[in-house]
Amino acid sequence: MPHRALLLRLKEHTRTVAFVVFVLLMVGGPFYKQVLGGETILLREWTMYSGLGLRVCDVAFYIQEADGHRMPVDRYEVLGYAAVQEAPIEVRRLEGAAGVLAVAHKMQEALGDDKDLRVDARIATPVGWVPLFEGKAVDAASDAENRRQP
Amino acid sequence: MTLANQITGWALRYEGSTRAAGLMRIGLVLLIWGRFAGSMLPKHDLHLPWILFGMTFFVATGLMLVGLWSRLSSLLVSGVVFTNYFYFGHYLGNAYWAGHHVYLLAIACFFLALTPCGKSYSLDRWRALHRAERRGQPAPKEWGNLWGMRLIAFQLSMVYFWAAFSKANPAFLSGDRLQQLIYANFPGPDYSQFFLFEPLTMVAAIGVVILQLALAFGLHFPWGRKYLMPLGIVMHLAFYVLLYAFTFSLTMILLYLAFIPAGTVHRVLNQMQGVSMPEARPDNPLLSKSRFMEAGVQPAAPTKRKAAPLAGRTALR
Repeated sequence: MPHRALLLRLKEHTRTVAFVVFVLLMVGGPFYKQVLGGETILLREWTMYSGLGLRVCDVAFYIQEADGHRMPVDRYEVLGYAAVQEAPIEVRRLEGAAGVLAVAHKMQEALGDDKDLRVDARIATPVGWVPLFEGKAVDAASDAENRRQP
Repeated sequence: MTLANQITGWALRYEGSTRAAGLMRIGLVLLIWGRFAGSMLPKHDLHLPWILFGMTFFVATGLMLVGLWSRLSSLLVSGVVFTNYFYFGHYLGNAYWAGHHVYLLAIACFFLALTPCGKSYSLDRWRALHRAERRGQPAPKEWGNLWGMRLIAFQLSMVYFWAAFSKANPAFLSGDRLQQLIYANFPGPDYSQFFLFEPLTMVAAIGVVILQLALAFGLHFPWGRKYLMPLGIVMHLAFYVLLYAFTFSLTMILLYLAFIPAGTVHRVLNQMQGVSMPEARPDNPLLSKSRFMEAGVQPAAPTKRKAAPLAGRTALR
């Protein structure tokens, strides 16, 4: 019987130590990675969805008229898609400067060179929306350099 | 009673029905199959180590599902899923296997292995009943120390707390990050043209952070379970439908069982199976004597019973 009591006591002590260790790992792991900025694969952080949706752009296309008036342009209409879902993904989801400019050039081609197509765009970053283009004139030659950028 | 005693009592001396652990065991296997089974087939790589690893996966999850050597098989499944997470996910760079949903499955199986998860809904239970019958002993109770369930509950609290912490910044609270997720996941429309888009996403973002903080602490209390649990389930289902989170949403909902008192789970399951209904009780004179003799239960003499309150019928059967 004393052996049994001793075993039970040992079991409870082991359980206590294990519980404390697990709790420390559950609290300390995210603290180390999310607060102190540490990097290790051995501990788990809980930052769900933090890496998703980055580089996507919110874009407005418009034609700058001579009198200063801005005429909004629907990219789907200009490119000849009857419905949004008919357009390929690179037209529906504009990613990075290169993605925006690629669509802008197609639109300029469809509209003709006599139209002054402009673009306002902001890009998704971990710190929120960041301005990418503001009133940028679409020019295939000078944009070629931009398109090579990510 | 000192605070330390209260904490140790809550954490380490939590004893109760093992049915919630049994249900969790079965549910975790189904989620793990949903996530990995197709990828673990030998057709993906005919080298012996992969074939053996795949076999280990299917044997261990199979044993865990039917509840044979339940704790050992749960531990083995945890090891296999952790191997997927650390080796294939982090070391070999399969990002989909290095995700938070995989870690959660692995750690839940590990903590479950610390509970007597085979004492309910398992072949272990069936064998124990037969053993007791052979020896002429009463049926073993579906009862045990559930400190592993406390660990699972604490892990969920930490998931919510640190998830809220990671969102407590201007980029998320302003609604920007939600807008970006919407642009990325539902490409096509120019949402910012809709005048309510920005205010709505801001309200939703603040709401999510508040709810996650509330879930982190509130689920440990009865009022929290009553009001927050349905909200948590709706939030997870919304995440699944809108953003797709692999098995994460369903795993979190399944692991909510760790917050519900074990006796309550047992009682509700009894009620669902009609066990606590008066007509199914052994002392019901309407039932034949032979039926209970077969089950090894002596029917009591018929007595006029008072209508017992629900709490009075919670004795575990």
